[in-house]
Amino acid sequence: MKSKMLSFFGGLCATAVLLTGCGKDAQDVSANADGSSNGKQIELKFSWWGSEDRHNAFLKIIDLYEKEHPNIKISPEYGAWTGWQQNIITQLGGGTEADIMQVNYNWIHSFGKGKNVFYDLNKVSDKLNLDNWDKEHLKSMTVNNELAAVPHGMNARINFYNKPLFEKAGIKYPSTYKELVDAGKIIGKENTPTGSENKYVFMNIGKECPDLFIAQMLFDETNKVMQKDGKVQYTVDEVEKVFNEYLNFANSGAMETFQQLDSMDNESNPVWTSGRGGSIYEWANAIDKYAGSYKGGNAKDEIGVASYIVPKEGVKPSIYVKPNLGYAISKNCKYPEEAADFINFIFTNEEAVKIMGTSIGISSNKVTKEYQEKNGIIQGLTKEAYDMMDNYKQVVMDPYFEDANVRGQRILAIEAFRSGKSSTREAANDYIVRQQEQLDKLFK
Amino acid sequence: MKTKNSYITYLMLAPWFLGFVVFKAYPIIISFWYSLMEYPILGDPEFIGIANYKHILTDDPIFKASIIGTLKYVLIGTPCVLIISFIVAYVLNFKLKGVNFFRTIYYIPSILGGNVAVSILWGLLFNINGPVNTILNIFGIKSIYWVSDPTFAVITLILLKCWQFGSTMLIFLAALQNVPTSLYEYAAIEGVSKLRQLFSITLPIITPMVLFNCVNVLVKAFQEFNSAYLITKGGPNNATYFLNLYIYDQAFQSGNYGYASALTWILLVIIGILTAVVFSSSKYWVYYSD
Amino acid sequence: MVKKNTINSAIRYIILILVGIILIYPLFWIIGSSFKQNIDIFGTLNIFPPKGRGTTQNFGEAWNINNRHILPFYFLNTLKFLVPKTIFTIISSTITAYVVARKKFIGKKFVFTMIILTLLMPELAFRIPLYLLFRDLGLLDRYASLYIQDIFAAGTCSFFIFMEIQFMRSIPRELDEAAVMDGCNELQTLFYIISPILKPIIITVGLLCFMWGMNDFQGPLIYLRSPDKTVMSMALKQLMDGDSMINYGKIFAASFIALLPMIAIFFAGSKYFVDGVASSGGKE
Repeated sequence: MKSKMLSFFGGLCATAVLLTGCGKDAQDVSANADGSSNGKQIELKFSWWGSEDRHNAFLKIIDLYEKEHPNIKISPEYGAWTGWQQNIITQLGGGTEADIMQVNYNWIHSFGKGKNVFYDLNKVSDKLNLDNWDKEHLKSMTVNNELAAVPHGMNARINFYNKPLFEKAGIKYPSTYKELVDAGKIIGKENTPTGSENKYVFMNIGKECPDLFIAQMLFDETNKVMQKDGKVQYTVDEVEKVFNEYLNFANSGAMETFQQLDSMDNESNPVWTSGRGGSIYEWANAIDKYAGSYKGGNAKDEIGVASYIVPKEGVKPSIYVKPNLGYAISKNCKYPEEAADFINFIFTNEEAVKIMGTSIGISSNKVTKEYQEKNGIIQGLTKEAYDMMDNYKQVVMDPYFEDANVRGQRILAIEAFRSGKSSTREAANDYIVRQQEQLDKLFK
Repeated sequence: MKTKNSYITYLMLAPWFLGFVVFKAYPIIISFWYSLMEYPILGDPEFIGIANYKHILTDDPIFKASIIGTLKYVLIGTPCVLIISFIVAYVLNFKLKGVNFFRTIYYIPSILGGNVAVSILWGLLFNINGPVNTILNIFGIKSIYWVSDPTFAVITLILLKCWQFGSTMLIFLAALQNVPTSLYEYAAIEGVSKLRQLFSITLPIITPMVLFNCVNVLVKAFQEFNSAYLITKGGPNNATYFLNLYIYDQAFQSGNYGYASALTWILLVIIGILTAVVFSSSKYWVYYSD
Repeated sequence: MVKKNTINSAIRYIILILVGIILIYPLFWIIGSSFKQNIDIFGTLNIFPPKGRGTTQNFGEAWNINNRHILPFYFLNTLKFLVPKTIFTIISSTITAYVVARKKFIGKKFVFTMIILTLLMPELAFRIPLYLLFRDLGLLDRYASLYIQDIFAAGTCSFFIFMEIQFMRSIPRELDEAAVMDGCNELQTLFYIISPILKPIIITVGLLCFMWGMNDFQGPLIYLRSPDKTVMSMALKQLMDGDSMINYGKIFAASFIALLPMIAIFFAGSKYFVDGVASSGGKE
């Protein structure tokens, strides 16, 4: 019995040792191979998140690239957005991240808190043609004078509206705040506090949407951006005024009150899918999914792109835009030149651009955009949305606009006044003070 | 004989000890070390002593909201889950035809776990014009803002927790199975009523498992993440922004690993204190046969 | 008397069935919704799709979950870590629990306290130190990373150890003493005397470990990186990326297919509870 026991534990320990042993060996081998293989067989890891379309597109692009570069093997790592940021943070913390990464705009600035955590792409500009990008766009990806990533394209929130709802009510889509409130009185005439057939002129779906909408209102009314050199630029009076206006949109029936919000906070929101929502404020490249869910995807031509609703007649606002995503190279990458070449390939190979199709949206890279236009890749509502975007002066969001803590404080203040927990005055004060506290932590 | 036995005893304990040192003690000590630092996950750590703790306890309104929400959830939710699971386990322990079928059905909510369908369904049920309010209206009760009212948001999540009583029930059931039937037979001959049997035979015998479930439900409730993350998203006004959510966001959204570690330690101390209270009370109500 | 019994059991069944409906309704809703088109899913608790709008297309799409693999591929991947995990958990937890519950040794109090302490630890903040440790051990992107802790009774084992300790403490000691008198050593006592009594609890450990492992998404996401190692829980989550329209019908169909083996396993496992220990001969 005793010997049985011993051999059992012996087995357990041996298994453990074996398992760990294997791992170490494998790592050593690959390290050796890496060290001695300059110009020979090279393996690069490429990680991205996204939908099935994107996975399939990238896998095809990888095949295409490997065919043209037989000495390079690109190993994919991909998944859905859920949990992806945690995944990447953990990997970066452990120095085990992929060589080439698809990155989110706020990572660039927030992860390193002012320091660049990725490879400086300026160093590989001979492989990655940076002239294809607008200088301003590259600047938004620059941290501490280092180019952390190159953007795929610029994205902005656009108003999409449901034409029949306005036609039936006999009104045109509102263009000013006052018209929005007036439209609410007509379209939401029969609304009740808990009605399941309520109609609304405007919807802000999700938590981020009211934040962006209010930020744009503040921008329109004050002509100042949210932050400058780490300081919130607004006064309590300015914010309070906007909060009051926003509250008025809900109270007049133009928008849902906090209590009326449906629990589905994506494109499957039943108010939108059943055609009871007059319009949404969504990313330009997200319209396909909202058009796909609207009335079961069978009424895409009922949706139109509208211009922005402004404080008063004749105002032409500047709009916030942000890089929708970018590509970065790991600081631990052993072959930054080859990695840069692959990124360049994604943007400048016509075949690759065609494969990528619509799954990311219009690129702001000159070459990519040209190929996209030439091949008629971006069409329909998405094209209209980007055209609408180009009608306005674009301002890139401040680096810490979307920092989780900074934005978290704004969302909290907005929720407080919408739910009636605080007055708009108190909430406006929190909006500024609390946001500033978080910014101070980043700028100390 | 004696020495040989204790040699085997330690040998049997050896894997646990190794696992404890490597996978538990080491990370926990490290995380305490981190909690004393300004530690941006991707930057250079800087030792700052107890500054993180001081900030959390004196100057962090989010922590305050978070701890209040967590405590509400734990202190109301734990007894509810325990009572419901015990009652169900007790009923499912009856010798009824097809009881196995019911056991499976009753466990299904727990199998569904954090499935996205559950969070969608829960949202539908408690929507402002959802069926729960419709039923309330029938009884003349005004509609409740289940998800947008801070107090009711916590209750909505507690109800979900109660609905997923499966694991706790299963453990009670296993314990009930272990009560010797001979005791009941003897009691029945003596003419002891069913209710008396429950309180003077069944409950005392399974008190060790009651203690276990109590500690476990308490601990799990403190570490609740999924339901708040999926259904209320921490809102409204942070009413359901449970500590574990806050820790997650600090560690993996903002990359403030030092701050997250300090939060973890505070959570650990609170759980520890409450567990210690439960344990020290256990000598008055838990009966061990040894 | 007989009549009273019949009424009694009728009432019991009615209550059991009513509660059962509340508990199982969501499952039916998931099944029903997997036959619906996306737009018909939300805003209604109806199980059945509106007349003439039902579809079986979701199941086809769910089975061919993406154009690289079919659904069972991911299920097999899950088994690759979950089977060893469950076995190791059962063995290591039972041995540890037995020693702590039944043996006298120096440091027993300490061991028990540590088991409880590890049970209390919120796992979130240990994720990074553990990740770094696993990296150094070369465990990243290996299924072993998901069960190595269970070999050493760490990970979620604290829960099971504590559970088994509590369970064993309610078993009369005379049994062990009798076994020792018969000349059994610890292991013989554990395997021949205690284990049979432990059957319900061991099955519970196995079931819970399996169910939780099946639903766990965070662990696989962090430790497994190659697309070929993707497990079921990750594959299901991948259907939910916000970049394109989420097809809930497909998700529900896939969830339902994934649930079937779990329900079957649970049903098979819970059978062993039916008469449990009372008639297994260990007790009398």
